[in-house]
Amino acid sequence: MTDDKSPLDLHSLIQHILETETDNLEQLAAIAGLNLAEDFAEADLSHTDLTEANLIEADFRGSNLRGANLRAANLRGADLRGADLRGAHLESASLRGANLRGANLRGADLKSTEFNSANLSDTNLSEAQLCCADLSRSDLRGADIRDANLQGAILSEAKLRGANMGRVNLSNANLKGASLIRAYLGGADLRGADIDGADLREADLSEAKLSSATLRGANLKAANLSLADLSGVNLIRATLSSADLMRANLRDADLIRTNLSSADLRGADLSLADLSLANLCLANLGSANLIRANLSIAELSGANLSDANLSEADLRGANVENAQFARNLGISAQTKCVLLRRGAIFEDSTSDRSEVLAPH
Amino acid sequence: MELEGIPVQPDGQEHLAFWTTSTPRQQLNLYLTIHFNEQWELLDKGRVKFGLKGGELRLKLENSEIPHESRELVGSLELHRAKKKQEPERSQAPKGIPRRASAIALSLNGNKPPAQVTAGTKQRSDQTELTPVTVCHVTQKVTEENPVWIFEEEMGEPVLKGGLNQVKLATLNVLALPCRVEATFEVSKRDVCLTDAEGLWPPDISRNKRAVLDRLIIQRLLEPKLKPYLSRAELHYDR
Repeated sequence: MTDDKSPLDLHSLIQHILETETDNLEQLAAIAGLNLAEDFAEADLSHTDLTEANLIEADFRGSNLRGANLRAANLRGADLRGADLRGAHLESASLRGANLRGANLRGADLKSTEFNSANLSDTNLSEAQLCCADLSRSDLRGADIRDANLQGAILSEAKLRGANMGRVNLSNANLKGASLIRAYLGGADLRGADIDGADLREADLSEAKLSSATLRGANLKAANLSLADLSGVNLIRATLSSADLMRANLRDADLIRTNLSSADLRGADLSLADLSLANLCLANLGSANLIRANLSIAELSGANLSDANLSEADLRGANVENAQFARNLGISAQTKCVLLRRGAIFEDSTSDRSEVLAPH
Repeated sequence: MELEGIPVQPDGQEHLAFWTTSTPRQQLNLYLTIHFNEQWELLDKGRVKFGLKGGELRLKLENSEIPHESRELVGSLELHRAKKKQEPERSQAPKGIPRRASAIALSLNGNKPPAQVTAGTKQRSDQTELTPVTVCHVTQKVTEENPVWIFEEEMGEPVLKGGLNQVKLATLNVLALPCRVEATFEVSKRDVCLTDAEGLWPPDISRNKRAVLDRLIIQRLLEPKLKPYLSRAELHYDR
């Protein structure tokens, strides 16, 4: 296939490359008669400098780009499937619409990187720096994002189904409309994040920090939020039916019209929470802290409120039919009578003198 | 690379279902022996060392077939290297079974055998101490009409080293005689990796220049030598 002159030509080309002044990879490739965007698939480009390189739709499938400098590089639409980008520097690079399926980006510097509409499914992004990165509408299904820093990142409408996001930092991130079904977010930091309208069905958010986050209209059906910090969270009109909220901190949370039917809220702190018009039908509020909680016009039918602290709680207009009360603090004899008339079930007659607002 | 076929002994009649014909189907178990190693290649006053990250084993079948369910080689496989040199010998067919299949390993580039291939011989495993060198992941291409196995380095080593000795590849159904199987091991520039070089550039060469030179040498010097295939073996069965 090769002619006899090839080795000589090759030798002179090698000399030319060695003697040339430039160290620009694009220019060096051009001298060698190679196309950087086409001829380097599966190539070893580890620790090379590709700063600001124009690599639109480049083929880097399976390439070794470990530790490479790709700052501000244009990799729009590039094929990086299975590429090794561990520890690579991609700050401010554009990877819009790029295919990175199965790529390894562990520990990569991806601050302010554009990944809009990129395919990042099954990637390893653990410990990556993704602060302020734009991942909107990207596909991150099955990705490993453990311990990554996504502070202030944009993940609106991103697909994160089944992603592993344990202990990830998503504080102040934008997750509007994102799909996080069955995602693992155990211990994640989501403080101040915008998660409105996100789908978090069956997601694991145990011990996650969600204080001051907004989750308006989010679907958290059957999600695990046990021991999560949801203080001051906005869950207006969100669905939390059958969710596990055991010992969660929901202090001062906004739960107006929230669907908490059949949710497990045992031992949860709901003090000062606004649960007006909330659906707590068949919810388990055993030993919950409901001090000064607003439960006005809430649906509590069939709920278990045994051992709940209802001191100064507002139960005006609440539907308590078949709701079970027992050993509650904050239920006066008068209130008890009112509740009994409304169909509540009291296991015993223990009560104290604190006031609960439950007028006739 | 070596491909060996050993006729399968037909099952006893008691195992045959009532609808099976009295003529048993001829089958051959195919065994693969393949070795990977690095090799030096001269270039002007210097030389480069290269190895393979992977490749494709393709079979072309004549008067025979290998159903998908009969293709066995798959998954992670440790490549071994023999610790002590063994005396090459011809393989022995199981006692009582006539061995009519023959294996031929060929080198494309005539002058010297390719480094990745051990041609025409195999070693007796019971007398050889084998040590694992690298791990190879083997997958099957199901989209192609003829059987294809993809070999890939799995554990992050630059190249594959070591070999597989007489591993079962598949069971072949003989449809007519003579039956012929052609095996080729094919590689592309993507499978080739430069692992060392001497006398070609200074040691303090920049990473960018080195990356381009590696690619240039692979594309201009090595890839043409590896086409259309790196190694070929043929197996004839005519009873």
